[in-house]
Amino acid sequence: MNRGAGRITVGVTGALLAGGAMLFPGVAAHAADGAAEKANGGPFAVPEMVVNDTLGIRDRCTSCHTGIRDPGMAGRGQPAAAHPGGFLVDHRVERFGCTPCHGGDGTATSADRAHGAVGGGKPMAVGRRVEMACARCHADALHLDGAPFLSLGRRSIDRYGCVGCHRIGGFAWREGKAPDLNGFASRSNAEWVYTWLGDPKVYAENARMPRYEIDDKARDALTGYLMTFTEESPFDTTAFPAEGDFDNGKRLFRLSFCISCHTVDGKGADEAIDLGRVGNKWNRASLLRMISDTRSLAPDSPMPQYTFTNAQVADLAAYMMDELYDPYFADPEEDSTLANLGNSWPSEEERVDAGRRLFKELRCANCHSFPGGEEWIRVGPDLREMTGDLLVSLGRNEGIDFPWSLEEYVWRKVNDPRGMEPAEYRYKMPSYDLDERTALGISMAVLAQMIDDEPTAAFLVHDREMDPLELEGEFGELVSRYRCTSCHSFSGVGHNTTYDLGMEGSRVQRKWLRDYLQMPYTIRPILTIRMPFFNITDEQAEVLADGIMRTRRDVLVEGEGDFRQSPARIAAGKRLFDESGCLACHQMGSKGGYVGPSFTAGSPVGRKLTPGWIVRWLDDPAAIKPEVPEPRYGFTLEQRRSIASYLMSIR
Amino acid sequence: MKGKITGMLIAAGVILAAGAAADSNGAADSSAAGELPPFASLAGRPSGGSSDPALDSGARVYGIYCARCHGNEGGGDGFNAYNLSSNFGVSPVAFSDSLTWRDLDVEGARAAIKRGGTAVGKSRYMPPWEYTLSPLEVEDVLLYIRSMPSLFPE
Repeated sequence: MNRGAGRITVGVTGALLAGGAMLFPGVAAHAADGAAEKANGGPFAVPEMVVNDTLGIRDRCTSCHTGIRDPGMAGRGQPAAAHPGGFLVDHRVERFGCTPCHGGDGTATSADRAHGAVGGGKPMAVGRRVEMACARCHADALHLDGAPFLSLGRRSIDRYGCVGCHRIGGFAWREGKAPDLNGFASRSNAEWVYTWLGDPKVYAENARMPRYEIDDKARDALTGYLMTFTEESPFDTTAFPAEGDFDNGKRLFRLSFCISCHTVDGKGADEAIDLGRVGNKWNRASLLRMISDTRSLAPDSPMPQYTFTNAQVADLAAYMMDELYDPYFADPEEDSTLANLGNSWPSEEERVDAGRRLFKELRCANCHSFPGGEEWIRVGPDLREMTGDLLVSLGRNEGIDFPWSLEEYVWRKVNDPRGMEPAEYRYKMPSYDLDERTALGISMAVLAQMIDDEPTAAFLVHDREMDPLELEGEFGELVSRYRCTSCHSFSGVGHNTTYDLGMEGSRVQRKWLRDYLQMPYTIRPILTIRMPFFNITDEQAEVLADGIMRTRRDVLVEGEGDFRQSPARIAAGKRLFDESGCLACHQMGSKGGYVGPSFTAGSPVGRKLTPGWIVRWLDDPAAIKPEVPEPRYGFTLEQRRSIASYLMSIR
Repeated sequence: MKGKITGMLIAAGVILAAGAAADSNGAADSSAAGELPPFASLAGRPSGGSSDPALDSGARVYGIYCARCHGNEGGGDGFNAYNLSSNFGVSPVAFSDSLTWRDLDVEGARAAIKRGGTAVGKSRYMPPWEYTLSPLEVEDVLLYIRSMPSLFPE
């Protein structure tokens, strides 16, 4: 048998099931990959076997699943049904076979054996379970199209900071994102923290901190201890006006698009904690500090450092302290224990001491920095190394009545971290109160990274979202200051919720970019998130525009721009533009749709984009921006040049 | 007339009803007295809402490319539909309306998806998708829109 990927066709004539080309009769076996495989990628014969030695594949599945690549068999019953969706475009059957994703026994010659129903082979994965196999190659991706549960699970692991305690495959260890508690007592108040510790979700529905099931007395002790974290030199507020302007603060809050990340009373993008009660949590001085000097309180936070005048900061604080304050939160009439804070301990010393021990016992230091250093970090199990043996070592708690398998254990542990552990472990893992979908996603993601049959490096697909972005000099500092990568990626690096800036320097004109940074406007009405008004200074805008123009270029895009925008092309482009129905989604003047960017609002398109970029974009929009709703029209190069000429003439 | 339409839709309807039944049973299981359903029972279900992977794939494609004009539930009332009717006097087809399928057959729908509205003598504002979607995705989304009258009855 030949080495490498290829397909062996056994049989004399090919039963032509798809396409239309003739298949060579006889046995055809091909060596690794590439051209041979491509040449062989047309119609196929039965019975057949996909062979890929690198992945250890010997799959006969297509002998029965004959319609797997045939659009005509979409939605039909098995075994002839076509594979749904676009999965086979990037994961060609000829290369990957079926079993790397679906499990089962590819060499079997009967359906029951192939599907693992008999014969003791690996059972076939069905339904959502198939997603877990994606993580074999896409080991560090936070999001994968077509794997909604795995993606939700991996995003949630990142969101809830599971790596504060656990090592998890595909995640950097201990990248805790919880707030720094140094100086906490100078920013907040005992009533807030006492209520928060009872259940963080009472303060903010989207709080990430878990619920520690501790009694009122313990909560009181922790509160006492946390309130000893005072600032040595409190934040100096004398530079700010004593009174802010509520209305201007309201206007700035809106312009800054705080709810592009935060929610307020549940409305917003849910990327950051709800601010609906931030006036209950923080005092004015700490709000002034957070807004004016974000990094001093949140050095690693995805939040940008806005550029405000001190008067504007005071206005924002005035608005937030008043509007984002809930008089019914931490109300002693609702919670009678609040009135007795500190009274349940014989002395303040004992209270604080008990709180200190609890702080250590509950592993608060695994996620939060605090005045005391790192020596209190105590980690939980390494989840990469969990196996069935672990279950034996854990033993069974009495009263457990589910099948004692690793899957069921993980699933129950995620849902109810304490319910199933012997009493001595009960304090270790807190409760996250997850909905079923999220709990299932996390369980699948945790189980997926335990699968130890990792393919060779050649098949691992590295996801760049969490890679560090290293940009030099003043430009790099500004990109970091405004946290561009919280919403934009740079060639895949960064959390992209909007638009990848990898080719921005070749896509747009410098003047447009410069102006847009200072005076952003709505480009895509369909999005909830908006480019905030950062108050970027003239000088900063120049540096940012220069940096992007210098470093974010694409030679292919620029090469495409080398043509003459002749009147003939402009006229031809206009005809094509009209005939192709571009206005269904784009606006030109007052006419058109709201799906894509307007060609006239904010800036005429001829003053925004470059001709090369339009030519390249029109060739295949999804190649530049996956899942963009703009179709590929199959335009010829000349047609694309004409449309680009027309659009560039709109100035 | 109505009987005839119903007949046409029986196949899709059966598939969908089965999917819906499976899901509602599952939901009932998981909420019963706070009992946690076994991982195996949840992980074995399809990722989408129905029990048919092709239909799920179609729903996903529809959500990305079609819903903005044709509406989330195929009512022809996506958020961009207003712009199309007020500017150009065209209305996106309402797939969930069973009467739609009296005039529109599968071949016509497939041609419109692949080659755009002009290919079937309709509006240019329906673009062609044959260079964007894989042939399988076209079939999946076709299956999905044909199922809409039973998925989203008025």
